[in-house]
Amino acid sequence: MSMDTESLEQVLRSQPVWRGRRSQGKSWPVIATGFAELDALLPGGGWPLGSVMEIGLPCWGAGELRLLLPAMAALAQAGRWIAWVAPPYQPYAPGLIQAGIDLAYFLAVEAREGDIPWSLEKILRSGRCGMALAWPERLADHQARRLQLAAEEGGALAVLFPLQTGGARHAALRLALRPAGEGLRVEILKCRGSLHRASLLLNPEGSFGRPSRPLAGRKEDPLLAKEGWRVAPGWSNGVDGCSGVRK
Amino acid sequence: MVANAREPFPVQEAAPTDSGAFYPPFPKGGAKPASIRILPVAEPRTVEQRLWLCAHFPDLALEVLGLDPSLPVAAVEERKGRPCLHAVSPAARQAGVEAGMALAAARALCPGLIVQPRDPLAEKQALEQLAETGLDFTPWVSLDQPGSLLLEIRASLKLFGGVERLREKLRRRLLEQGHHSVIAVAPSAEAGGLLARLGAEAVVEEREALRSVLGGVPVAALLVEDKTLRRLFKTGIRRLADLWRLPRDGLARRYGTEFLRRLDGLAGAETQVLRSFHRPPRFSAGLDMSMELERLEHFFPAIERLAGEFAAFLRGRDAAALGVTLDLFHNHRPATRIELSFRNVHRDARHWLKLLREKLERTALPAPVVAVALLSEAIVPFEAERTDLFGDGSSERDWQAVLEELQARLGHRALKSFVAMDDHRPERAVGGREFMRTMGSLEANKFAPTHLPARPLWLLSAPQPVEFQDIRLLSEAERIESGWWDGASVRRDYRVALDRRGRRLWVFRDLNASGRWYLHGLFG
Repeated sequence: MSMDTESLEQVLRSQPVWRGRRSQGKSWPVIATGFAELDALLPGGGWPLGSVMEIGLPCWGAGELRLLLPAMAALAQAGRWIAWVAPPYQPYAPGLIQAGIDLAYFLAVEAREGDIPWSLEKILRSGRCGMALAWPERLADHQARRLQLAAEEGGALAVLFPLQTGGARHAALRLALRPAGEGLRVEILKCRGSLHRASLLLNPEGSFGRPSRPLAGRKEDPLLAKEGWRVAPGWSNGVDGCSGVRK
Repeated sequence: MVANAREPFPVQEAAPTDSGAFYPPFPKGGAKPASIRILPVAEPRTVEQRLWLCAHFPDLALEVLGLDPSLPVAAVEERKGRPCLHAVSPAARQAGVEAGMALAAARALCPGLIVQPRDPLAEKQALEQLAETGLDFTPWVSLDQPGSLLLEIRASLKLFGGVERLREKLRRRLLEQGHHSVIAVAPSAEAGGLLARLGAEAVVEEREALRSVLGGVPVAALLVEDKTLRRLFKTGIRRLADLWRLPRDGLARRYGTEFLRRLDGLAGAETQVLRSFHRPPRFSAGLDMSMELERLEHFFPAIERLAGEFAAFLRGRDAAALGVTLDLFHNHRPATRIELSFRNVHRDARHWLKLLREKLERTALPAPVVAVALLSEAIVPFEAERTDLFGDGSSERDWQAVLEELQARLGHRALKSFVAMDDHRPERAVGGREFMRTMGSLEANKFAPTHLPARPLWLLSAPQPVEFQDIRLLSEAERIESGWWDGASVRRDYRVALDRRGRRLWVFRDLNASGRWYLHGLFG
C-alpha cells in the first residue's frame, strides 16, 4: 500500500466521514449464503446473523428455500437448530436430507397466524437456534421490532416471507425473489451496512433441485416414447420397489 | 452382652469394662484418651437379630382376576407353547386339577373349570399395594421373594405385642384388601418364603431351630432348576435333611456354589441383600382463599406459594418432578384441572409458574376460585445436569425450556420433527412425529435417501390434480411402483416441472388412474 492511500485511510478512520456505498468497517457475524456472487454483494460476506431478513415473493414456493438451504445445512451441521414456523406445507424429510440438513436439529412448529410472532420470538431468543423461517400473512411494525431484538439477543437469523410487506422498516436485509426460467432473480432492496441496490441472477442448481436427467428439448412428448425401462444405477434390487428412468 | 464382640472397629486398647456394661466408662482425668470408643448411635441390625415375616398369597393370580375361589377356577399361562394352569382354586383342586397341568388335561378332569389368562402386571401392582400395607408394620419391606411379601419385624414386635398378634393384625389387613395369605416367620428370609409357599404357618424365632424345622421339606420345593433337581433325585436325596448331612465342599463341586448359597440362606446365614420397597413419594398441598377470586393476579400468589412448597419438598428428597397438576376449585362447579408434563425433570418452581401462568391465561374459568391445590405423583430421583467443560449444558436446558413453553401454548402436537423412512412411496418415506424429549443426531439420520433422484422440500398431504398444459417438465420420469402387498399400491412416473408462476414442482402421472397428472410436492 502506498504512502498516500495509507494516510487517507488514517484520516478516514480518525474522522467520522460518511462514505456512502461502502461498509463502515462495522462487522457482525454472518453465515455464508453458499452462492459466491451473492456473498460478494452482502456486507460481511453472507447472511447477517442476529437480525431479521425479509424476502418478498410473488407466491410461496418460488425458490426461497433453495436460496437458504446451503446456510441452513451449515448451521445445522454446527449444531444450531433450524426452525420452520407455520410453513405452508409439510416439510419433507428425504428432500431435507438430500439438501444436507441434519434432521436432529430440524424443528417444525405448527402455529396459528396469531401465535407466529410469539413462537418466533421465543425460538430466536433461546440462543440455540441458528435460523428460523416463518410464513406470516402479515407482520405489524412493533412485532418486527421485537423480532429484531430477539434475533440480536439469540444471535439467530430470522427469515420472514410475508405476502404483504409491513414491518420492512426493521428488517436488516430485504430481498425480492422472483423465479426466472430455471434460475432465481434476487434483488437486494435494502441492506444494513451498505447502500447497494443490486440485482443478480442465481442458478441454484449446484447441489440441490437438479433434475435427475435434464431434458434435451420439449418437442417430442417423452411420455410417448416407447422404449423399455432401465433400472437406475445403484438401484438394482428393484423387484417390487422399481424406480427407474426411461432411457 | 459383651460389647467387645460387637465392636466394628479395632480398638487400640481394650477398655476396662465391667462385666455386662455396654458402654465403656468415660476416661477419668484424660489418662488414656486412646481408649475412648465410639459406638454407633443406631447400630445396624446384624444377621442374627433379624426376624423375617413372609406373607405368601397362594391365590393372588386368581384374586387379581376377580375369580371366586369357592368355584373351580384357574389362571392359565403359556408354557413351552401350550396353555398350562398357573394357579387353581381349592374347589378345582378337589376335582384333581393341579397347577402346572396342561389345560386340556384339566378340562378332562373338571369339565366345569372356569379359566382366565393370567395377568402378571396386575399381580405385580397388587403386590406393590400390599407392600404399602406392610410399611405400616415395619419400615423394612421387600418384594424379593416371588409372589410374597417380606417384612423385617424384629423391631416391631414390642409395639405390636409379639409375633402372633402382629401376624393376625397383618392377616386381617391383607384380607381387607381381598387377599388370602399364608404367613410364616423365620430368622431367614429364604426359609420364611419357603415355609409360606409350602403353606406352613410356622413361627421359628431362633436360627438354631431352622435346620430341624426345614429338615422334612422335600427338595422339590426349593426353587432350583429342573436339572439340579433331577440330579438330586438320582443321588437319592429327597428331603432337605438329606442335604444337611452332606459335606459342603462336595455339594459345591457337584451342584455349584449358587446352590450352596441357597442352602446357607435357608439355614439363616444371609448371603444376599434384599432390596427394600419404598412408598413412591407424592406431593399434595392446597390453599383456601379467604374470598372468591376471579382475577388471575389475585389468586396466582397462592399458586406461587404452593409451587415454592413443592420445590422445597423436592429439594429435601433430592427428587425432581416430571409433571404437576393444578386444581382450581369453584363453588357449585366442578374443579378446573390444569396438567403439565415436562420434557425434562424439573425442580425449579419459577419454570412451572411460567408454564402454569401461560396455561391459565389461556383458560377460561367457569366461576371464581375458592381454593387451589397442587399435586404431583410423577416424582423421580433428581439427576444433576451433565455439563461439559466448554459448557453447552445451560443453553441446552434453556432450549428445552423454550420448547416446553411452545408446547404449553400451542399444544402437544405443535412441535414436529421428522425422519426419513426407507419406503419407495413418497408419502411413506417421511416419519413425521411428535417431538421427542431428547433427540440424538444418530437416531434421526438413520436412513439417508441420497442415492435417489431429487426430492422436494415440501410434500402435499394429498396429491392435487394438475393440468398438463400448466406445467413444463424439466426432468426425465422416475418410475415408482410399490406397495402392492399392503393395499396402498402406487404406480407413478415422477418428474420435476415448472408451473406458470415459475415454481419448481414435483409432479407425477398416475399410471393406475388413466394417466392423470398430480402435484405432489414443491421444491420451494
